[in-house]
Amino acid sequence: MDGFNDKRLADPVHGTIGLSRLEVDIIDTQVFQRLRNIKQLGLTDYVYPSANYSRFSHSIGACHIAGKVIESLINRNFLNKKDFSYKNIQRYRLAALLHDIGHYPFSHPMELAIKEFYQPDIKSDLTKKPYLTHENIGKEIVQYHPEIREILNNYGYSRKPISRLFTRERPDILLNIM
Amino acid sequence: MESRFIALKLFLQALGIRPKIKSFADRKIIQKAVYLGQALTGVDLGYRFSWYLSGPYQTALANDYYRLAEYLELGDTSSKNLKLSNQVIEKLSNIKKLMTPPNSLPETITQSEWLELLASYHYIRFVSKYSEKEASEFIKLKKGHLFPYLEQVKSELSNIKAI
Repeated sequence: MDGFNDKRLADPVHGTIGLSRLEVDIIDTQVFQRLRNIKQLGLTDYVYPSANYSRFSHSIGACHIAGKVIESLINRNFLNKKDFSYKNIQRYRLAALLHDIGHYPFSHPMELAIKEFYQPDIKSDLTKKPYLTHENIGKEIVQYHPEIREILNNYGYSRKPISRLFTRERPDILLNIM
Repeated sequence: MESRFIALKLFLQALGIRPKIKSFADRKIIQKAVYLGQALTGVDLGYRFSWYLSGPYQTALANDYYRLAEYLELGDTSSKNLKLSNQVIEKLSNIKKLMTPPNSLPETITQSEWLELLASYHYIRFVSKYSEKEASEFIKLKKGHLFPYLEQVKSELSNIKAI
């Protein structure tokens, strides 16, 4: 896709993935590199040894797919090209790239365990629990992590529109590609 | 039955909602009722909602009400002697009347449509942070068939000081 080929990666699922300079800078941050150590399927590789790919590769793949979906919709005239400038497309790609940045160790099993820990006690007053979904943690990271903030600011991207896409806080025609 | 399903059942009961899931409308009612119950009273079952086509939706809630329905179909009675705290019941009772369309509205609007409109408007105002004007325009564009009832929704939310 034009404008998203500053760096190319070889991916076993998608073949060659092109990335923009901004996406590379995001990937190079410590908080994104952390995703290398979080397995996509939690503890599943203890049963199925090949199921050991990471949230890191998944997130890069998601960014690539988001771009491909938008490109395809534009080419098929389902989306108006005038409404999807480079910056707008980049925003969706970033949302896909960052959508799992807030994942807990061991991915969903840990998140479920934490949610279970805070499960409602029906005899209590059921006040708001401090449990955060990985999407909401991701939102906090995008909003406040100094590395991510600085990079997005430098490239002229606001943080909230990006996090709103992967938390699905706002209606959007392309929410389902997240 | 696990305690979270009991909590969900009692929560819905306090709002006057039966845990029926047979039709899409039934499931929509439960989704919107739980969203509104949490958002308007502060009683938290732990479901965190996102925006989908028919308004605020939560996948985990969908999984839970399917499981709850299975337990009830099997005749599980573990919730029989349990109840929510009086404080929680009181909070939920305060919004119980919102769960059905006001008598002033025509009978053509169903309970699921009313709750879809109520929950959607509340969500895009307070979670999506749309202004009142933006929210009205959004409802007119995306839920045009429900737009005629929007003023009533605003009035009901205003009455309980939600807006």
